[in-house]
Amino acid sequence: MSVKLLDVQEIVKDFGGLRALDKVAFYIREGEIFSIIGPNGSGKTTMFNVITGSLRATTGKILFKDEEITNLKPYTIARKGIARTFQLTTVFTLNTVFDNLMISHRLRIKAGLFGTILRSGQMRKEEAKCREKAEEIIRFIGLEQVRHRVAGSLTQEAQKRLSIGMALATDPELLLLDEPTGGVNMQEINALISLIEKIRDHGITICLIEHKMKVALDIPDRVLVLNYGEKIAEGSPAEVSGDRRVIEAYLGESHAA
Amino acid sequence: MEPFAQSQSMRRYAFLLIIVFAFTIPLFVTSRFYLHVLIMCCIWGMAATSMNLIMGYTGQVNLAHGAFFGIGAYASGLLILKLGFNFWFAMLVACLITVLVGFFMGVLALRTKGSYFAIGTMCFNVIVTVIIDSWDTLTEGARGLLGIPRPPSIPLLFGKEISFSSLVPNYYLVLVFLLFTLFVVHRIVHSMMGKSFAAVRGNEELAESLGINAMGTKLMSFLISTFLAGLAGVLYAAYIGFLSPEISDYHVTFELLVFCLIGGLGTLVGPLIGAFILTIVSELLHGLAFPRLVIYGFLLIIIIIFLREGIAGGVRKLWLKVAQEGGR
Repeated sequence: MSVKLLDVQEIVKDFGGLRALDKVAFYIREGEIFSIIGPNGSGKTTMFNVITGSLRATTGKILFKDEEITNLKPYTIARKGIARTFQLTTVFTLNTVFDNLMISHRLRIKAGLFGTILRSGQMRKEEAKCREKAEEIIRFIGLEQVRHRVAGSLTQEAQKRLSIGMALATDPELLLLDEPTGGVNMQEINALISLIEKIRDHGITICLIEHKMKVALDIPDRVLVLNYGEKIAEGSPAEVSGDRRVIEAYLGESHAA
Repeated sequence: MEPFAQSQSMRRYAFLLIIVFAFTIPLFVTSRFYLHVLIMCCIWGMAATSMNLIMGYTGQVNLAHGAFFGIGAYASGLLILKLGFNFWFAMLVACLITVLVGFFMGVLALRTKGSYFAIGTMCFNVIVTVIIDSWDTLTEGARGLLGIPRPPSIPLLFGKEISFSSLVPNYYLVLVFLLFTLFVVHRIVHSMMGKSFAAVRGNEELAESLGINAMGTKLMSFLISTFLAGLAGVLYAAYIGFLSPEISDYHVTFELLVFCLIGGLGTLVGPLIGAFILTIVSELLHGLAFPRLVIYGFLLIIIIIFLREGIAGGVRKLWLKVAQEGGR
């Protein structure tokens, strides 16, 4: 069967006296869409931050392709093939769309000082690689029309597309999307969902955090439910949505019966 | 995108024209005073351009730049006077010393961000000046370092040589190094390395999530800028021939900062424009008792209120406006 691409083992994250993640364990299979859901403050984004190295895990281990990546630096983890987007859409607002995508491929090339100053052939080749990558991604996310626009002037939906595109430009094997459909309207949500499915069809494994049930339960293959930093359910969307504890967490005890 | 490409090539011609003009200046400017002012403009222009790399393009407000200028100047002066180094060799070694000091300082200070970084580097600047001032046995302290010779003559074919005893060759010397500085900064800014600098300036967290080592990137920018600041210091030492601890003072840093702000941070010509205008103004006002810093203060207030991006930024905006209206 499919292999464990990411294996999260008993992760604990404490903020002072507050336990934000309590021995959370799950795995993501290669090629699937995995979704982490849960009420506000349940630790979803904290989980992302621990996986990508922007927060240190208190205890526990994370394996990516059987290699331990716990508490490595964010840029090292990105180079190993895990890309992410942020909950509040983040792009380089003052740079053009195209430059945003070009710089996102920087990690895959070499850019030494002397080569840069002398503008060596090697350097121009490396730059051309970034340009090609940016061309490929800009078509993939459908932003050719605005390629020279400053990213900060785009609509929310276009910025979301761009931020996903930037993550893709790092050539990831695993893509972590933090609320990819937050703050956009219904039509735009459908467009973003089809983008996510298109990414999956290109063989990239996806893990997403979602609030909207439509997105959270329609597109993923498997779902993890967190509540107060604890894993309360894991399984297919159908299994999870029927789970008593999940209903309790979302709707309160009276609905669980 | 045509107007963009067009303005690019026009800009190239304009630069070429200015460079040619700069090289012909000594043909019609013969006054020693004006040549001296131009030489100072070039030296300060270099220092401001180097500061712009870390501050304008990488977004780290480095308030220790005067210290690096001073370290470069003192290092070369001491190497030449005390160890008898050849000027060109001393220049290289002095720049490397500046970078080395910059490395230790950068590794410490770049861990902090924003205003903490600014304050940290400013403290470092003060420390450097105090050390230069009190380490009498090495630096001659407050008496200053006297008698640094001009660069040795460069021999040419047929027994001719370029001698740096008069002002014109000195002007060409600093001009060449100014162009070198601009060239280096231009190449870096328009490369993937420059894009990573901009990424770190734009959003460090995002840059790191895209696999860019923010610390390494900032350190790289910082070291290049200290190298170029040291280089400007070396030229200053050789031209003026006298150094006192004040040349590494934080007042120098703030002067460079004002050049950058008034000319326009994050633009290639901005710091140069600032350095030229203010150096000329302050040299011309030497006779007046009116304190220079008061004028700087007023200028700075006006710029910050009306021209946030400095003169270069203002001109660019105006140009875009004209180009747009012309296109309609």
